[in-house]
Amino acid sequence: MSVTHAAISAAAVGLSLGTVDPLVLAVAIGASQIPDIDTSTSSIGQILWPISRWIEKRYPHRSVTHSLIFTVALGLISFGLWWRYQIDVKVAIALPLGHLVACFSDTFTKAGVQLFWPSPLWCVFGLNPKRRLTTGGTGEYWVLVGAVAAIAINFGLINGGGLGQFTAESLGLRSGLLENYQQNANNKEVFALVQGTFLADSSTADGRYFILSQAGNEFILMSQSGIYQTGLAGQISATRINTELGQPSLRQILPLTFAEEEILPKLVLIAQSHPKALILATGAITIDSPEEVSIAPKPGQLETVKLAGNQLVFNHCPLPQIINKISLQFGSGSLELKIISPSPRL
Amino acid sequence: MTLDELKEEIALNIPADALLILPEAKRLTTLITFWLEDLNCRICCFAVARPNRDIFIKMIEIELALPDDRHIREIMQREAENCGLNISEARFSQLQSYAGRNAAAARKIVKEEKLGLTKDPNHNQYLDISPLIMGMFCCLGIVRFIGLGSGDRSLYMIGGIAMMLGLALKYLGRVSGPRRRVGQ
Repeated sequence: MSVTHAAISAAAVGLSLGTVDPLVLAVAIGASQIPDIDTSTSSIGQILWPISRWIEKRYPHRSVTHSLIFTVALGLISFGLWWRYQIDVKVAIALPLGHLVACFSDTFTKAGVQLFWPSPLWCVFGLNPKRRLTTGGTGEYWVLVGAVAAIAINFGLINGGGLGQFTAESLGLRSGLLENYQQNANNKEVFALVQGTFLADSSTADGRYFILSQAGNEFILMSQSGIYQTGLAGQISATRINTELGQPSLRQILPLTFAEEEILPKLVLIAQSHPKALILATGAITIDSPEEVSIAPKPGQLETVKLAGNQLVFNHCPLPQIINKISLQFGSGSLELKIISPSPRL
Repeated sequence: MTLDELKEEIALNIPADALLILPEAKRLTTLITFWLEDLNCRICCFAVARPNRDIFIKMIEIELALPDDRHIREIMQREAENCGLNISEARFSQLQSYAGRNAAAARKIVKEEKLGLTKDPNHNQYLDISPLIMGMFCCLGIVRFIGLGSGDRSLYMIGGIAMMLGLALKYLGRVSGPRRRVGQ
């Protein structure tokens, strides 16, 4: 049946090329119908009846148009189109591949196909005809169901970042999560769905966190309650992490240097120019009056700011927090500001 | 005249340049083939397959080419005319795929068509390509090693899945149902 051919080819081409591009799938579906142009009873044969009647007068059904020679001819046409008009490579591959898959799928039927035409051999999958499918029979409908399911799975896989990403997410593989974060963090919010415990008091840390950045193979996360780092060197021991993509978001890095000058005005200016953004600072500033700065560490959270001698060291410290700590300080040093716009909803 | 007398008479009187043409030679009995062995003349036997015994072992074998598709179609059309059947070209095209290049099967299929019997392929020119398909899946296992070398997890998994699928098909292919009909 033409529908089964279309579904099988769309599924096989989509899965093998890792795409759900409508053009690629449409070409694969079109190519899957080409073999049946050798009979005027098929859909394509009825549309292109002069060709189908010419072929069916001369050749048996499932012979010349179901052969590897025909696939090669289509491949050459595809190659020519790719060479001359620079069409998409996947579209070019979809044409011969869709045809090939349709021909191979017919080897599972009782009659088989002359894959190696003009050789008189009829290629079948298994020599026992009772174990092969009847065209239009119940078995074919099961194949159709399987092919449609494969198309749906392919859509799911591609939308979920591909097979690799899907497996990494399903198994909670850290390398896959890091890859997903790296690929998407620059233009989308990336959240971490964490299962684990806080190292400080062994209470549950299960929840949804916004990923601020990557620290080696670990993540620096943010929730409404604070900022944390995963791993034994951090605050959360995560048994499983899954990533989840959120709204579109833009990240930019802004370097900032101070040379014996007042620190506050520059920071306030940046905060005012990005009112809806989340701004985090990392770096160190040597200040003139460290005794005027009071830092109360938050237990169980990432130490985002600490005083070392007369140096203030920041690690993913939210900008409002810095503005509150430094009132009229003068100093020198450099900061790297990470601006995430808009601020994620936690 | 008995059969033995006839054979003896022919053997005595047949000229050396005579040519004996024997169709359906596979059906010849052992007595006849032994008799043919002693004849002093040229013999040409036709058979669908060469029987590996007595006189046939000594004979030079010439394999005839199979009739082509056009010839088979003509046979089917002639048979349909004889049966008074009006078959469309599309139906001929489909029936021909059940007959392969076998002229006898082509005639039989047209007769079955007249009786409205369910058709199953009737020839034996089949090539089982299941090892080819299973081998192709297993060969996809090569991409597993490319994935391993290049650090591409998707390739690694696709290769592994394909290889396992090929092996699974190999074992599933061993499931064999009855090929013969009940009572055969």
